[in-house]
Amino acid sequence: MTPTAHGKDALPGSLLEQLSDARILVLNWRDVRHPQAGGAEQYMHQIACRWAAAGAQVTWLTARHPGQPKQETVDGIEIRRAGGPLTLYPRVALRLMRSIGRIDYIVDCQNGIPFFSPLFVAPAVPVVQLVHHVHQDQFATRFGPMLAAVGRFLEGRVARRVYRGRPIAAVSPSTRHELRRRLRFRGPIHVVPNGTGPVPALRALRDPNPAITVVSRLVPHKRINLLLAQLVATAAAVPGLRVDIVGDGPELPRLRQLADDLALGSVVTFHGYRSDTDRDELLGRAWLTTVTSAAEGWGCSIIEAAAHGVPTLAMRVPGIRDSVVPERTGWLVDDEATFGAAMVTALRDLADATRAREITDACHAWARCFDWDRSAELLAGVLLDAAARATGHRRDRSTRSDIAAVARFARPEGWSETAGELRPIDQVVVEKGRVSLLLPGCDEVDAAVALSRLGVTPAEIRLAEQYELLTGPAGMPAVLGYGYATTQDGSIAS
Amino acid sequence: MVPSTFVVLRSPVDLEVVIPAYNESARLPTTLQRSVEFLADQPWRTRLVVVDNGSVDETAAAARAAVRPTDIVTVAVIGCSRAGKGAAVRRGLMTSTSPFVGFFDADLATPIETLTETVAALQEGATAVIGSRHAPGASFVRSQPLGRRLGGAVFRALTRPLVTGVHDTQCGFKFFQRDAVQAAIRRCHMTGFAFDVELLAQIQHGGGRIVELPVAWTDQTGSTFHPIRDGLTSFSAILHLHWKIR
Repeated sequence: MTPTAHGKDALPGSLLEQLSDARILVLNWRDVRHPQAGGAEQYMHQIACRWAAAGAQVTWLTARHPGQPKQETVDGIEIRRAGGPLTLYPRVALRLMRSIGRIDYIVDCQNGIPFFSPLFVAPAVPVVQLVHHVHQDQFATRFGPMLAAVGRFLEGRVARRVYRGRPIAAVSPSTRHELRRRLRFRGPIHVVPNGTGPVPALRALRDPNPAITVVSRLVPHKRINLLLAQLVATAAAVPGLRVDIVGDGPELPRLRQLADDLALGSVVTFHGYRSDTDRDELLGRAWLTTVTSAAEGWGCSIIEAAAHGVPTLAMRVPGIRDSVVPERTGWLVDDEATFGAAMVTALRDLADATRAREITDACHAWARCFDWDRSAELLAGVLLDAAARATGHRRDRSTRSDIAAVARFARPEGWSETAGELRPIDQVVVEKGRVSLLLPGCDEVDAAVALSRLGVTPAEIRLAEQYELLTGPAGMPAVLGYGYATTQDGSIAS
Repeated sequence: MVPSTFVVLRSPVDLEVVIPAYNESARLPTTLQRSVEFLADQPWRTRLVVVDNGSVDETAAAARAAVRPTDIVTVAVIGCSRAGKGAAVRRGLMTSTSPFVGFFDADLATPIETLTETVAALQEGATAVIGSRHAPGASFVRSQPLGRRLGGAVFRALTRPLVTGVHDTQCGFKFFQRDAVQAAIRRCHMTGFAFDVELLAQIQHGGGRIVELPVAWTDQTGSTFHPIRDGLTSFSAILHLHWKIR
């Protein structure tokens, strides 16, 4: 059971408490102090330090970058470094074989290639594979054809065999979709979204002139070159437009050259790497941010911009499309050739102060849906469920686990006792005496049966919507005005 | 106390059309739009009930977004966690409270206009009205591959003794009197490709009358039927039915 945070009625029995004293091993090719650490390391670090704070003993095995200490404790996490980006994998395997009986849980973070940890530990040790996104198409951009084929083989066919039946945590519904479609994984896949930093109560003062700020690492797959090409027409249509690009990377010289070639010198400024304060200031005064990636696991920068009240224009691609609520917190573009025109439309829309304020409020509300405390609870639930699964003490309610039901009812007397009947992956929010449940793997009838076992007569049971997999059973905040079509089907009210 | 399962029943309309859907976000919107277009002009109130069979491709969202409900036609999206078309159809039929209920495939291989004759036959007292690609008068708009035709012929020969007087048990277009079909389903056990055969056999077993309507069938690409794997499964299921029913 995962109580979902902020300002809701308190619930007993947090899942984190159940992990106190547990020995958890995190396997990740990098750690948060690695010079190239990105969103994936941030994700696991934010979650692991919350587990550590709750009393879990978290050990993080990773590669050792030159100059990094072999061992250090960061935010309560014991980080042990050994080996390089490739030798790390056999070293971890050896380490796992030596630590028989001393591991309660393993989080096997997949960054293209997973650690194949189920091969090196007893079947009773719960292993959760954590996947940000599917790399099948990316191997070819980084390696030669032979190595890329090996990568695809390991990520797909081999991993499918090795992790068969082991639960996976995916960071977004898109990633789950790709895992099913591209890698044909059949085991349970749970969506555990990213959190985000604190959301300021007020929006910073917006630039009086149209301004776009993009915060991004400058690497090929972010496709900033596509943005630049599209900006030519946009700049002509929107007088006074300025575009600030914050971030560094191997593409910077080429992008600078491209901007010059396109005569965008007076419009686009490359700031390179900037401090968090400078970055936030540049982001805060923007009207809009853009994402032109061809695919991601999740749009961290989109939610960070939303926290600053800034909407996003992006391509409708996996991961990204989950991070934007179309027409509310931004816009999604299907055809990259129309990206420039879409920028013009968005900026004109945002020129209206009332509309801009509406969008800012929606962005703030959307960003507040993503909080690391909740992510830590959700992933803890997946670990506990994996443990129940590994030892066979689990009643499987379904064969197709990607379905989920939402149930709402008035909180019955003594609900806290019955809450123990729920599975660790079930999510619950209690607000003003109303209980909302999200039951993964259940359809409406499964949910009704489960609830009647708890002695609850629900007022409403329906299929979970896509966004509820991200925001939890409380659903979308009202300000996002995302109406659920529950009345028209007549199916759901009692 | 009212049983919890009561809350999953839908309010009655005149006709409910169950559409089982597994990863159908590409084809379903067109099917729904064409259906709504036709149904809006009919004298009966219809609800299209999409049963999402655990899709990962946002089938449910695509279905909700595809059409605007009217007084005459509405759309419901429900779920079924048990895998298989039979399980999904079963769920849709069993949660209905409308007098006439039935199902067709998400690819709309049978023309939607067939519903006019279907409803008329149900009003005249038929227990079940089913589309038939092999009854006299039926046609294939695009012919099926030879292997598929051969397999079909053997399958039909095997099912003939189970369902009397029916030429085609497998057409994905079947409508029923709700009371009769729900009673029949309670006696059914299969959820795979033999689901249709068992259902029709149980309808006849309960004294029901089945009317076959010859249809102009368009074989759609994107079928999930695998000739060898699913063919063998279907045959073994039919043999099992012979053993059980006879």
